[in-house]
Amino acid sequence: MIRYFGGRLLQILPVLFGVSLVVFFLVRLIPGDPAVATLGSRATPQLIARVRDQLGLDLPLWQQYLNFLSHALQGDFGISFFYQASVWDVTIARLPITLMLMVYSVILALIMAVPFAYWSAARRGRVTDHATRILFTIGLGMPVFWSGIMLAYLLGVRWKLLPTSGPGDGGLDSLVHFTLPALTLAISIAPILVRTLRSSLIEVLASDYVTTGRAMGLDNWTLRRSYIIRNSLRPLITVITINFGYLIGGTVIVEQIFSLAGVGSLLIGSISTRDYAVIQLATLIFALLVVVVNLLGDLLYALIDPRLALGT
Amino acid sequence: MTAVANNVPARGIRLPRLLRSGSWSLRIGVALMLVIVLAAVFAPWVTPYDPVALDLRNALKPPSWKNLLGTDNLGRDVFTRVVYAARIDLQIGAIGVALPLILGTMVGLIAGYFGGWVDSLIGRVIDVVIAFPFLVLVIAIVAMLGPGLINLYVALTLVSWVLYARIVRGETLALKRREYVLAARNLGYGHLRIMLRHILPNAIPPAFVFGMSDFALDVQVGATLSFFGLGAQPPAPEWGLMIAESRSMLLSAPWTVIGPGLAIVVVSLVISLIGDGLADKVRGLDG
Repeated sequence: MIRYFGGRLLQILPVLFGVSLVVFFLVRLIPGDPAVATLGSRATPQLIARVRDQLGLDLPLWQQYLNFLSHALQGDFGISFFYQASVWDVTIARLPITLMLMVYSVILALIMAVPFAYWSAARRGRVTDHATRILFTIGLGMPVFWSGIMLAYLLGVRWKLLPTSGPGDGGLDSLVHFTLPALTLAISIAPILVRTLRSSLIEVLASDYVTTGRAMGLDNWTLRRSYIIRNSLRPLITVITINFGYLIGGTVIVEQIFSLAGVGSLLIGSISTRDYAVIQLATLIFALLVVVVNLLGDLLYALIDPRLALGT
Repeated sequence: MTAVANNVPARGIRLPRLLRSGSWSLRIGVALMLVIVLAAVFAPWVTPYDPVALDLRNALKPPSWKNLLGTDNLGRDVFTRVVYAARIDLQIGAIGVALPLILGTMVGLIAGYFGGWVDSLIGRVIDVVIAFPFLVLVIAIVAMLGPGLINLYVALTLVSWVLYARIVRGETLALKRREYVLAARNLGYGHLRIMLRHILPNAIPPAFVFGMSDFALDVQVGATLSFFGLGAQPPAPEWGLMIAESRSMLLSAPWTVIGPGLAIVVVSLVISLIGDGLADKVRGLDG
């Protein structure tokens, strides 16, 4: 098991190296002189020289990359011109909001997906099954920014059920403030969960141990709780980890729509302020999240099913 | 039947034959898609209004028989703009699939066919690009290149070729061990001929099927970037941009936001109908 974990960690190293290269080269995509682009209308010859020096733009490319890497490993991504503060501090301070939003929305998505998937699978081919599938296909077809605006309009403004912007004052109030954004996000990922869960439930429902359980006279609740749901949840780990990047994309949009000060809205906001270092770091953090979550998913999976670790 | 069919190189997918034998979801999907495409191409005949000309006397009119989806704050007919916008949004979907499909198929074919260090190198690159959340990397690239549709296409191509490469690589790995490919090699055919004439036609259908769901995703990503001001630029009619421009009028004129959003939902649904039908079809081809 430990060897499997070690091997999995080693596999990540080339990916991390590649990710750092991509993030480094992102700034090279800026047409013209990055120093001039960073400064925009503030550009003066002295400032340009200072920024070129700070970014190390006059060094050979490989040396620039090594500099970038050694600074990055120390959490040094330079100073944000817009916030007049360390890029690292500005970005990391916003991470908790992003993480909370993601966890909350995954929980809501599961609450939505599990009963519907069970319903759909148990009544396969009947009207409820088709209705569920159509409903969730529509959910998948709605662009997140639009469903967010519509939900905010209906639940927030029209019916005044939930607040539509800001993170709240902590505790229960924050939970209430996060509900609408998390719900928006949950609606966009629940269809993916339903699809996977439905097919794994169908498999479990048809399995011998469920038939045996039923023949032995187990009541429906025990059967569902201890056998069916439990055995069909495993693929969910895979689905959530595989679609984690999609979830992050949705988070970026939702944070912006609902004015939540997370890393995603920071990324969008930094485009118009030309805070390229912030864009770099936000992109890096999101990629690292994907890598870490995929690793955790694999480890969790191996813990649940030790055959995987032994097999390879 | 399958044993025989497997040894005969299929000639890819032909559209007319596909439609005749296709499922209902595929037929309905293709028919609806055709209606949408025709409406976009012949937009001037579909609606009498101009998509960009201002008509301030008719601003913010609610939906009526004259203006099916009402008018926006500049008096432009929302339905007209939604129809014209299909030109841009479908173009985003089409280019967002076509360029990555071509690039990814070539790379995947090379990786799968030659194997060895070429394959491991390409595999590493694919792993790295997949590590980034799709939308985040597209936004980051467009943020650096500057807003606009061309840069959006560049970003979509740079990011999503890997998905096609992964699919085609897997197919190629399986196909190159088939008897008919080995036979072609024994006949002394060159690598290029074997790759293009014998492997490619059979490796590409799964990539096409994935392309359908990718099309819907690209339309959504395109609308999202335009919504953030990074894609299509005003006064161009584009669904995401229309929603961004009308967002502040949601309370007084909800139709200006609902119309373009519904257009995206409808296109996504039609695409998923076609995608499901195609997926069944390709599964059928594999036996």
